[in-house]
Amino acid sequence: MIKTLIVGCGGIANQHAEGCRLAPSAELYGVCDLDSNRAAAFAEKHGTRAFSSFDEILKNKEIDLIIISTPDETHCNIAVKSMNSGKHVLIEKPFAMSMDEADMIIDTAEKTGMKAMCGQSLRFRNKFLKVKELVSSGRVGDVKFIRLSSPSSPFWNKNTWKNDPSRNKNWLLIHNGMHNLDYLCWLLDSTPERVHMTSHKGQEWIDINEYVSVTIRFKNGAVAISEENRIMPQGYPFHLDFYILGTGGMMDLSDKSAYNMSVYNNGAMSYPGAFINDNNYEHPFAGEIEELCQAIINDREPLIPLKFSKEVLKSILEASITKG
Amino acid sequence: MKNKIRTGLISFSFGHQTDYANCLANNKNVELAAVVEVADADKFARERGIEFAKNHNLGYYENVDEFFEKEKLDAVSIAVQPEISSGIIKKAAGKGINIMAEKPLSSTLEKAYEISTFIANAKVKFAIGYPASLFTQQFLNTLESVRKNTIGSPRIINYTYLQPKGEVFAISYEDATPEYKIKKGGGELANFGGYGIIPLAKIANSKLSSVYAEMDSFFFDSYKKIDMEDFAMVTVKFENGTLGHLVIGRTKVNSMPYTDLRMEVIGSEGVIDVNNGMNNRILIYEDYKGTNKTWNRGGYNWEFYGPSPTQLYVDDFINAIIEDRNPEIGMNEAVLSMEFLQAAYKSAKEHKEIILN
Repeated sequence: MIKTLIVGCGGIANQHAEGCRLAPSAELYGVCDLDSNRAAAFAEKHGTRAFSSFDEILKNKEIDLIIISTPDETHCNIAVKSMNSGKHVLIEKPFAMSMDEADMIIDTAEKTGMKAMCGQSLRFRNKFLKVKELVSSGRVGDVKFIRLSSPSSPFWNKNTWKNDPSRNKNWLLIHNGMHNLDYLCWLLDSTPERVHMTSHKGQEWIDINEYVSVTIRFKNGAVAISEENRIMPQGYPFHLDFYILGTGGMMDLSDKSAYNMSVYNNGAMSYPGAFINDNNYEHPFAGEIEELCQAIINDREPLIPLKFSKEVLKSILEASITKG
Repeated sequence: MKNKIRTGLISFSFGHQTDYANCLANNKNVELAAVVEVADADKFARERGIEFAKNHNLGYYENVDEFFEKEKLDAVSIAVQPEISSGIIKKAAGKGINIMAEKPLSSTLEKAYEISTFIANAKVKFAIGYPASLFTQQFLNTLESVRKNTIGSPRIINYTYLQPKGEVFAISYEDATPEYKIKKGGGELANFGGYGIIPLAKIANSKLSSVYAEMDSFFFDSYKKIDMEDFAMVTVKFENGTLGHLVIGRTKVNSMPYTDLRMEVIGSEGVIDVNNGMNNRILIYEDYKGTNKTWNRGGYNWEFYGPSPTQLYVDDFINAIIEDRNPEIGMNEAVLSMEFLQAAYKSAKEHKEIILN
C-alpha cells in the first residue's frame, strides 16, 4: 500500500481523502495543515492522523506519497521539498504558477527519481473516459470543434476570499483552466497553436474576473472554446456544457439535454457542493490517486507526464496575460 | 394609416422572395400590387414571379422603371443579387417607398454605408431579410425578457447555429470555384453570421467593439478546394462590456433532424437558456414516405405550428410602417452584419482581435 498524506485541509482535500479511501493501492496515512485545529478536525472526520508541521512530514520515512492541496502559490515549494525528501507527489492544479516553477518541479522529479503528477480528475470521470474512448475510436470522425464549460454561481464570498492587488486578474484561468485544457489536449492528442482569452467581471467587490473564456486553435487544426464561468446566479446548478463536433458526427454531452438529476444549493455553491449526478460510481479522485500509485509500484511514468502538464500550463499562462 | 399598405414585389431571382410574398399575402394590412422581374433573372425566377402574379391577380412587369412609374406603392419587397440591389433600393427610397430587402444589403461595406445614408435621408422604413435571427418565438421571448430586465444586464451570450445535412445544400466540388467564393462573399459565416450577430447586438443593446475569429474548411472537400469556411468560431465584445461567442457552420451531422440553434444569455441576475431556437414543432415518429435517401431520417419528422419567423418578420415590417417606427431588423442591423463579417474575416486571416471604430 502506498502511504499517502494530504497537505492542506481546504475544500478539495475532502475529495482527496475520499479518493484515498477508495483507491485500492492507497492508504491515507495522515493530513497536515498549518492550522492545527483544522488539521485535527479534518483528521477526525476522515479517521486519520493530524500533523501541523511540514518539516515533520518530510522526515517521516513511512510516508510514500504527498498530495498537495494547498494554495496555488505554494505548490512548487512543497513539491520540490517533498521530492527532495524522497516522497512522490500528486500536485493539485495548477501544478506551478510559472514556467520557471514548472521546470523546477520537472528537474527535481528527474534528479530524485520521484514520481510526480498534476492532478487532473476530469480524465478519471466515467463520462470523460468514455468520450476519450469514443473519440479515439473515430466515432464522430476527426474532431474539429469542442465546447467545454462548467458554469456555476460564484465560488467565493467576502468570508472566503481575500483581495490581493498583486494577483493576476485572470487568476481563475490559471487556477482552474488547466482542468479543461488538459482534457482537451488529451482528447485531441494535440497542444495549442494559439489562444485568445476574453473575460468578464462577476461580483463587483472581487479583484478577479469570475468569467474567463479561451478560444484555442490546436496544432492539429481543431478549434475549441473553454469557459471558466463563476457568474451564474445564486443557486444555479453546477453542470456541464460539453459539445463535440467532428467530420462524422456530433456528441452532445450537455447536462441540459440529458436526464440528469440536479441538486440545488440555497445560496452560493458550496464546494464540492451541488454537483449534477452523472451516475459516476467511480470516484475520479480515486482514479487519479490509483494511477499515481500504480506508477510508483510499477516504476513507470504516470499517465499525465509533467512535461505534458507544462505545455498545458504554458498555454494557460499565455492566455491569462493576453489582452481580453 | 387607414388604407392597406400597397406592396410591390421586385424579383423572384434571389433569396426567399416566394416566402416573403406569401407572408405579405397573409398580412391583412397588405394589398399586393404587382410583380416586376429584373433583366438578368433566369427563366425559373420569371416563372415563379409570373405564377405568383397570376395566382394573386397582380400586374406583371419586366421593366423596373415602368413598374415604379405605373404602380402607386407604399412598400416593396426586393430580392435581387446584392450587386444590383443598391440601384433599386435607391430608386424605391427616392420615391418615398418603404423597403424590405433580402440580405445581404450589398456586395461591399462601402456600398452599404452609401445605401444607409440614402435611406436615412429618404426617411423610409427599411427592413433586411434575416427573419430567423430574431423572429423565432424563442428568440423574441428572450429579447422581451431581457428588455424587461428579467435577468439583469446581459454579460455573456453564447450562440450556436449549425446546419446539419450539409451534403444536401453544400456547393459541389465541380461548382466550387474562386469566382463562386467571391460572388458569395465567403462561406458559411457569410451565410449565417448575420443570424447570430443581430440577436446578440439586440440583446447586448450596445455597439460592437471588437471581433476575434477562427474559421476553417473542416467538413467539405468543395470548401477546402477554394479555401472557403464551413465553420467559424467568433468571439465579440460590445462597448458596454457584454461578450458573445458565436459557433456557426454547416456540418455533416446527418442524423440531426434540424438546425442546431441555441442561445444562452447569462445576465447579472439570471440566465436564459434557449436549447432549441426554433422549436415550434410537433415531433412525429412515423415511417419515412419519401424517395430522397438523404432526407430519410428513419421516420422522424415534424410539423410547425404558429407563425413562422418569416411571417413575424414581414408583420413587423408592415407594423413599423403603420406605427411609424423602425423595423426590428433594419438598416443598423444590415450594416452591422456586414461590419461583423468584414472584421471576422480579417481577424481569421491575421490571427488577431479586430477593433471596430
